[in-house]
This record gives sequence, C-alpha cells and structure tokens, in this order.
Amino acid sequence: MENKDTHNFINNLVEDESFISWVKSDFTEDDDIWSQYIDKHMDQMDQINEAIGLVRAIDFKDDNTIDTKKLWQRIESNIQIETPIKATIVSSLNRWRLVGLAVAASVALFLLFRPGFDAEKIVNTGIGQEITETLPDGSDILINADSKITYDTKKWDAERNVTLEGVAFFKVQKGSKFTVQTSQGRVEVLGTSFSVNQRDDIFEVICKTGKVAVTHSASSTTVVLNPGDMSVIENGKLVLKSAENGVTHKITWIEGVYTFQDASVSDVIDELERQFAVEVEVPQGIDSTMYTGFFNKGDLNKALYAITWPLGLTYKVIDNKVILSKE
Amino acid sequence: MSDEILWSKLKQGDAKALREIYDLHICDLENYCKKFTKDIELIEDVLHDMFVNIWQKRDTIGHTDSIMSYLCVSIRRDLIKRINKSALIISLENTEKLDTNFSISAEDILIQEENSKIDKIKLEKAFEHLSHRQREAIYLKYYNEMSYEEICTVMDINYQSVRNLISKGILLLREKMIMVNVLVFIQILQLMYF
Repeated sequence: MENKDTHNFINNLVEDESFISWVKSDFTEDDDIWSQYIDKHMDQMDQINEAIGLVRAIDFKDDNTIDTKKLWQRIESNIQIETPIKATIVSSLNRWRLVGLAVAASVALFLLFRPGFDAEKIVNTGIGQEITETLPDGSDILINADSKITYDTKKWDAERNVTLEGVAFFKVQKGSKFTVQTSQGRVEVLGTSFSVNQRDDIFEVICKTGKVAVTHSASSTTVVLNPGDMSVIENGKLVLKSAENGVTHKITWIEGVYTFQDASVSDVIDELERQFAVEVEVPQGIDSTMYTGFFNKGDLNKALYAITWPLGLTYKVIDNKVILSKE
Repeated sequence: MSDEILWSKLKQGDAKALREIYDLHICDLENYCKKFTKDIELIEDVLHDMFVNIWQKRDTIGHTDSIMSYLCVSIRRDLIKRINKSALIISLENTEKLDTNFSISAEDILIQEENSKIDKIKLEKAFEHLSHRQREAIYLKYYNEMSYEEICTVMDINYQSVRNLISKGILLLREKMIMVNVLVFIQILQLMYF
C-alpha cells in the first residue's frame, strides 16, 4: 500500500492546473517548467508517471449527434438579426464628419497601396465607436472611442510594435516582445492582457493577466505591473498602484462601465461626449466640481441620470445635444 | 479572438460573434448536456432557447471572460429545471428524491491507443464510486479543461468545495483502479530524450 506522502505527491500533480495543461497538450504547454521539474525529481519518476497516466486516462469521447447546421437555422429563424450597428453609428455623426471620414479613408487607402510605401496600417475610431482589430499574430485590440492605433503589417513578424493615441485594451498572444508606444511612454509585455489610457497628459495602464513593463518617457522610469496593478502619472512621476489589500484595479470600460474617482466634472463630460457622440452644454462654474461614480454605455438617459443626480443637476436631451442645468 | 472581446462584440449586436460562439462551443455543450440526459430533443430545445435568449438579452446580460463557463451555467440551470419537471410528471406517485444525474458510461470513456492497457470497464466502474458532483467537477476539469474558478461558477459552489470534489474524486479513482504506466513511461522517455 502506498504511504500518505506518495499519495499526496501524486494527487498534487494531478490537480495542478499547469501540470494538466502540460499533459493534455501532449507535453508542449509549460514544457520548460515540467522538464526541469522532472530533472529535479528523477527519484520520483514512478509517481510522476502515475500522475501523467491518470490525467491522460481521464478523457471522454466526443458524442455528437445533433445536426448543428439545422439547429443553427432554427436559432437564426427565431432571432431577428438586424443590420449591423455601424448604420446607427453613421447616422449619429453629422454629414461633415462623414465627408471627413470618406476623405480620411481614401487617404489611408492611397497611403496603404502606394508602391514601395511601408505597409503601415492605421485604425481610427470616431466618437461613440468601438472597434476590434486583430493583429497578424492573432492578438486582439479593442479600441475605445476617439482613439487611433498604427502598426506595420510587413515588419510585424520581426517586431510587434503598436502606436496608440487614446484608449485601448490589448489581449496579446504569447511570443516575442510586444510594445505599445504612446506619446507619454511605452508598455512592454510578452503575452498578457492589459488596458492603456493615453489621452492628453494621462498615461494609465492596468494589467489584467501576465506581467507588464511600463516606461514613462519624460522621467525615464519603469515599473512592472502584476495582475490587478495599475500605473498612473502623478505630479510628472510614474506611480505604481499595486493590487494590495484585496483592492484590484479593474478594466471596467471593456464591460461598458466608465468609473470615476474624484474626477473633475469636465473630465466626466468629455468621456460622456466621446462615448455617446453627443454635445453637452454645462452650466457655468461647475467644471471643477469633483465627481465620484460611474455611468454605463448603452443608455444615454441612464448615464445622464447617474452623472447629474449626485451633482444636483437636471438634464434635457435634444437630438445630439444635451443641456445640463442647475435645479 | 479572446473571449472578452468576442463577448463584447456580441453585446454590441454583432451577429457574426453569436455565430462564432455557437460554432466554437456547440459540440462541447452537447457533450456536457448528454451527461445529464440522453433526451436529444430536450437538449436541442435547451440549446436553442439559450442561444436565442443570449441574443435577445445581449444588452442586459453580464460580462464574462470565459464564454464556455457562462454558457454552461445557463444550460445547466435550464436543463436541470426541465429534467426535474418531466421527472416530476412521470413519477408523481413516486417519493424518490429528485436529483440531478451526471452519468459517465463505458462508451463515454476515451481510451487512447497507447493507454489501451487501462481497462475501460475498470475506469467506468471506478467512476461509479464517485458522486455525481465529483464526476461533474472532474469532467469539467479534465475534459473541458476549465480552471477551478470556472468550475465554481458553473456548479455554483465555492472554491474550496471544487478543490475537495476533485481531490477526493481523484483519490477514489486511483484507489479503484490499478494503473499500468509502463507504456506511458516509455513514451515520455522517448519524447524527452529522442
């Protein structure tokens, strides 16, 4: 009979998430870790093998009898798939902006296809818009409203380099160094997910998974972020706000939630204008009032209520215009 | 495409995202459902309703960075509700306690060729000694390769309970089974050194 230690040794391996994915991926994922582990535990090879055998043995057959095409047709016939929401975005922009977009698009096309020119790709979002861009290596960028990313499709394999103006969430595939360049500094990672906010003199980075290195150009300082950590610029210096005491910094905007802590009303209104493509008229003298709270993207009236109620204001919506006034 | 971005596209009304989610997960969802019931018509209905539902409620549904576990939570709840309902009608006279079954039969077990020394029947018998919840947790962990946190969400129990279900389940399986590892051992050596 095995003794208790052996028992625990095997069970610990079988329950280890990294060990499971190593075995299930036919010894490719996390292979460096487990090769080293085996070298160090050669005397326990029998137990390691039992653990491997067990993880491999717990596998089940695919048992698929449903006609998935037919089921999809049934689903499709019961939902009204509307025309893409792009149409509503366009209608909310004014005519001149449309002309501007068309001009910008043709300039971009011209630049893109001009022979001999770098294969530079630019993705620009308008106000109220959000776009997902998939990079050549499968990494994804969710680009927030009124933001711009640039990268070189030809040089991509040699260096993963993206320039950002504005706000974006990055989900980076594992691989070589991935760099996000902004006017305030750069963010370097290997494979992880994080959000960068660089508008005006803001330079805010929140790490969701993995490790992220943030470098501030002006002070030439670097901090390393772990999951839940955030870096900001305070008084011209790069400051790390770590995820201690159970307080983790979350990237809420990708869920459509915009949160503010002691933010000036003008910052909040700027964000509202950007996300809903509206113009907001603010009564005099409240610009520097502080606001703590949040609004949800999706319903303008609810968002306006969330902002105006704590400030003791009322609002009126007329087409693309919002007028705030004191009660 | 990552789960959080795919989901956020769905929430923004992108029908292609719904199709992509369907294509990615429909087979695994069917497999999962079949462990609760063999009633294919019921499974199709539940799957149909769920996809129609998430599309219609896309504005208000929560956010997730694990789509598969989100779908499992929803399908599990609905499936168990409907199984219990039909069981109730059939066995009105019966005082038998209504419970959810999570069954794994010999046909469900996949024996890889190099593992053929592990007796299929033995493994099935070993699974019989596990509780339904242990079976389900082990299925989600080793077949769907979910994280412990994802299993917490799907089974609606806390982290420690999931760890216990799996830990005790694995111990039981090992006790009930005699593993033949020589073949696997040789294979590992080959992978590592040749």
